[in-house]
Amino acid sequence: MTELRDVSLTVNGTARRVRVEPRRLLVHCLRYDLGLTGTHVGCDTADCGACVVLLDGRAVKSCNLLAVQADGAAVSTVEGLAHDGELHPIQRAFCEKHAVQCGFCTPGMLMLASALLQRSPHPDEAEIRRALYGNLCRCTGYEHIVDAIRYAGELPVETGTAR
Amino acid sequence: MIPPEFDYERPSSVEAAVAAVASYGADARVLAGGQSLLPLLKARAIAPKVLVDIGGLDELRRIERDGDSVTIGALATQAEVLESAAIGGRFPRLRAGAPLLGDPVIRNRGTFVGALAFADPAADWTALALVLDARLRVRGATHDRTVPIGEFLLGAFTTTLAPTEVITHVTILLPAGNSTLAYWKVRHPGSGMTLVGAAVLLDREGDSGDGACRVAITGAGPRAVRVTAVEDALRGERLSPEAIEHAADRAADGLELLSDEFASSAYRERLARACVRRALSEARAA
Repeated sequence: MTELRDVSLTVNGTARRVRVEPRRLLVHCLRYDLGLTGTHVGCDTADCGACVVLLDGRAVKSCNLLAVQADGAAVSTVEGLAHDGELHPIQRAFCEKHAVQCGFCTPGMLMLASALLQRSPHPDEAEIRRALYGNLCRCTGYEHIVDAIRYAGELPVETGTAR
Repeated sequence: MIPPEFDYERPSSVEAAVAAVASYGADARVLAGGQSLLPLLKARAIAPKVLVDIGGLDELRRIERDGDSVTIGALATQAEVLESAAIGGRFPRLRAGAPLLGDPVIRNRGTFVGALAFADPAADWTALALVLDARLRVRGATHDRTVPIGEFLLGAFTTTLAPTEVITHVTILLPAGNSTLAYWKVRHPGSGMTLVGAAVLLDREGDSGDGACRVAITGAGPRAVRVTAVEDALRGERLSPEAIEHAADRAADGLELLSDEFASSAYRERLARACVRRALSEARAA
């Protein structure tokens, strides 16, 4: 067996340290080593985006990344969106606009959307659809997902801006 | 899917990275963004003994403009290239047309240099690199060399890069101020992968147009190539729709065409003409 590596991550604002094989995928590290099972493994081939997390603020597919590559980085997962029981605006928008069907793709969609809103607080439909290109919904519920992201962008600034 | 076991090194200098790669040779793979390498590892299509992760070498992350020359480090992501003032700012249509290039989340991680090094026969970036006359700076233990992208690409997933070498940068010489860049591609409707794509860099100097352009096609054959037949057909011509039509008819001249379960060579030939025609029209309209 290859030598284990220490990896330091700031996960949802908390410093975490894990000892992993170099081949450990970030998504498996989050789910199995850190118990954060909100991040899903969908296709496992970097196509579907169910595993999207933010790495230093950028949306990445955590099934296509080694945990050791994230050493020293800040990782944001779906578990970190709500604060003190208060849903993140994008979560509220997904609820209100019924953007969830089976829910499997939802964590990746939420993280993708939160990164988009951070960069572009009021995205138009074309921008949203472009951003969603790498995230698949197996229920094909895209219309409501697009609506929800646009709606989140229209929420009042104090609550509508992604954290 | 879990990658096979490998040893992992994360050198802290370019020199150390080059030395490691030079000593391991074919036993090692260089890891930058990993967006092509990780899927191969997970599918166990490859099983290197060692991964040399250059991800910590911040000096390779930069996109720097010096006069007309832009240097893109091996760690600069495709997203950063598209967002950069030097490339994305200079070619706003490329930035606006970003949906044409892969998927945005992959581009957040995948590097520009890695996309060239992977040499996927249907890569979008290889065609763009060809019309931008990209030059790769390659280092080995005792040498360094600069190789134009047209000489670097040998075939499907095959380049002149030796297993003992590392690409550190790619340099692009920015074209004249009012040149326009266009890229047009047709995706496979199921996978979304590029079937055929065409890149055009049109020199708009003296606008009425002497038709000086560079044209490259990806996806039609085993590697992306410049299509000199189209470039020659347009040289000295006014860029009328008829001239574009006529020149685009030659898009498949001299091409080695692939045929597979996704598209026959006859279909790829038609796509090559259509993509060149559309990319030329777009570059002209820009």
